[in-house]
Amino acid sequence: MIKLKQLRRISILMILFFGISLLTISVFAEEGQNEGEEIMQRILERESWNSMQSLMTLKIISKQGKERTYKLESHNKTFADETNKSMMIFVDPPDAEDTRLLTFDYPEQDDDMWIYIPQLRASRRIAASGRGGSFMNSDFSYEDIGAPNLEDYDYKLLGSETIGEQEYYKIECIPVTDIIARNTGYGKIIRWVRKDIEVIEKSLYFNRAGQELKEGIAQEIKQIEGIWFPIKQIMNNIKSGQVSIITFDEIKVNVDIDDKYFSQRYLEKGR
Amino acid sequence: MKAYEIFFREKAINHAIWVIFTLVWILFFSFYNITGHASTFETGGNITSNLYYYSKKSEFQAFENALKLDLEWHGEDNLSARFIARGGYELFENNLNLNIVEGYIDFFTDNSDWRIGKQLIFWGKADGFSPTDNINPDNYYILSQELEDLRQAIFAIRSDIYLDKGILQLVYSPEIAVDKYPGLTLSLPESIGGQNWSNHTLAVKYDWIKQKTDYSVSLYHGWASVMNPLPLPSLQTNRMTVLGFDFSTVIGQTVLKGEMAYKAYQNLDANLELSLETSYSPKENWNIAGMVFRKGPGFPVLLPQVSQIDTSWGIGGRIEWIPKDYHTIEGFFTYNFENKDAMLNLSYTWDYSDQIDLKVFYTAFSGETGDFAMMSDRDRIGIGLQYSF
Repeated sequence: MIKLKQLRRISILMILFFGISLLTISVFAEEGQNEGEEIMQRILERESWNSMQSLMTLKIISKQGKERTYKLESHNKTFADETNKSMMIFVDPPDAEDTRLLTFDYPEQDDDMWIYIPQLRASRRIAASGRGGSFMNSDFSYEDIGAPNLEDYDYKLLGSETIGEQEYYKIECIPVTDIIARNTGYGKIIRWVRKDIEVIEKSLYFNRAGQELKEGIAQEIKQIEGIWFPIKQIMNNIKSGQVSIITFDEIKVNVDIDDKYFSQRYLEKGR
Repeated sequence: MKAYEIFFREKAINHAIWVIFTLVWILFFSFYNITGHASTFETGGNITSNLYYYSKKSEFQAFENALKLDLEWHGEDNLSARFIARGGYELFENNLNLNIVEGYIDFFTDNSDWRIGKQLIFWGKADGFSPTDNINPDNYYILSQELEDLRQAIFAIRSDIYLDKGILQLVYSPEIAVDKYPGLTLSLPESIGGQNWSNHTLAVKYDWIKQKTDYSVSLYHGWASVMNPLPLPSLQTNRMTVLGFDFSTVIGQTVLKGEMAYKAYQNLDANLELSLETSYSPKENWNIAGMVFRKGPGFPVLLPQVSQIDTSWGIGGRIEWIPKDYHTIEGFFTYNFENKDAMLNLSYTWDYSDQIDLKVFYTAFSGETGDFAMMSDRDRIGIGLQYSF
């Protein structure tokens, strides 16, 4: 059975995969911004979708080769008041099937989050958790999966790098406060941004002691309704040797999603 | 005895439910197959093996192997059905336990859901003691770690009506059931059943879902299990009406839940039961919960010329720790101040794979008076293996 703790951060995954936030592209750099920050600002504040439906697979492969696979269905929509609502349904494995998570992400208030546990025949309100925890025992954390807040990090362009046939900006990101570092678990992140499409394709995460923790790689980057999106994301845990892979098996964006998916009725009845 | 009086007796109603459900199932399934309407069938279930050992008696309590089948059918148009059955064979007592966990048909309109059949209806928001949760009696005969096995489904008609501001739930049941407890015989008063509609169960609940807080108010008019010690200890039903209220809110990273239930009985004094819980995760792999409650005894006792229910305050707590991925250690305790009795449960669960779970647990009871004191010789160690499909 899925543990309640494991599910607390799940909906954040969908909210953050789904969209980055603002609807306008920031063209002009703020005064005093460095080049690294300018690049990250363009990435984090670019136009996004209004809605998304997807089927995704999370595969966790231990160092010994043992695999765990979860299949999830998700629905995500931004409403006129900028509230983002998401519904995530576990499809597989059997002991997690029909577990559902409903999240209301308000623009300036704490989230509301509920989970439906089939074994209890009831839903429960839960607390939205912090940023540093892992998603379903995987190597992805809340911080990894979503677009970080621009203002949470100081940025520095380290230069350019060519890997294969692609050219990348190499940007160092350091949490601006100790609290952010403690909440995320990171002392530093180095990001490789593809120059041609300005998408983060690789990230190297360091702990607060400066040791390498994980390496994240975005693969199969496709343009969907004008937005570049990684269909596959891989996270290699350097310390444990575990690998986690998120794959979007199906994805539809800017579709007209019935509001019923974001209701208590759908949470408890699945319809 | 007239035919309809027999019909509403406990065993007869189960047979009737089987017959009705099977006929309806065949009818709709056939209809949809003949007419070509698209429909989907989902199957699932689990196989479990549980071994229990009484540590104070130094003897094995039970070794049960059980199969649970879960069949779900979704029609194309607003119709679905579900049937869950469990069959377990217990080695030491040579007992075969067959149990319908649930069997019902759902149909839906734009703003309402209807469910008819044997079903489980759990009320209340508390995870520990839930005084507003009274519809389904307990079944202590079943050896299982799953909540749905430990409660008895009842035949009921349930409707959830989705209004602008909230959800109205209505429940009607002609079935009268008592808790099933090993060692206690079951008896139903002669006045129950038949055309006496006033003996049936009616319940209504209204839910408000607000930003940050959920509320419910409820009214249950049904039955409570009451112990009658004379001439031999047995469980009887006693008419009970419960006015309930519960809430759940989040403050920062802390969840706070509360329930209140005013319970009025036919032959016993009324009492007020309360429950307040809070839970918090200080670290990612830790969860701590605490509760305080005021409750009556598990089975109020019906004694001649004595109608008082003793309520008392108590506390409880739960700790969950995940020391390593897929390994969970849980501890739960509860202590009653009046009776000075207590219960402790420790468990370790290994989520071995997507489909296989292993659980080891230890439960201990102590005290001189009270519900847990009655079970003080039943401290037990258990080990269970479950394969889900």
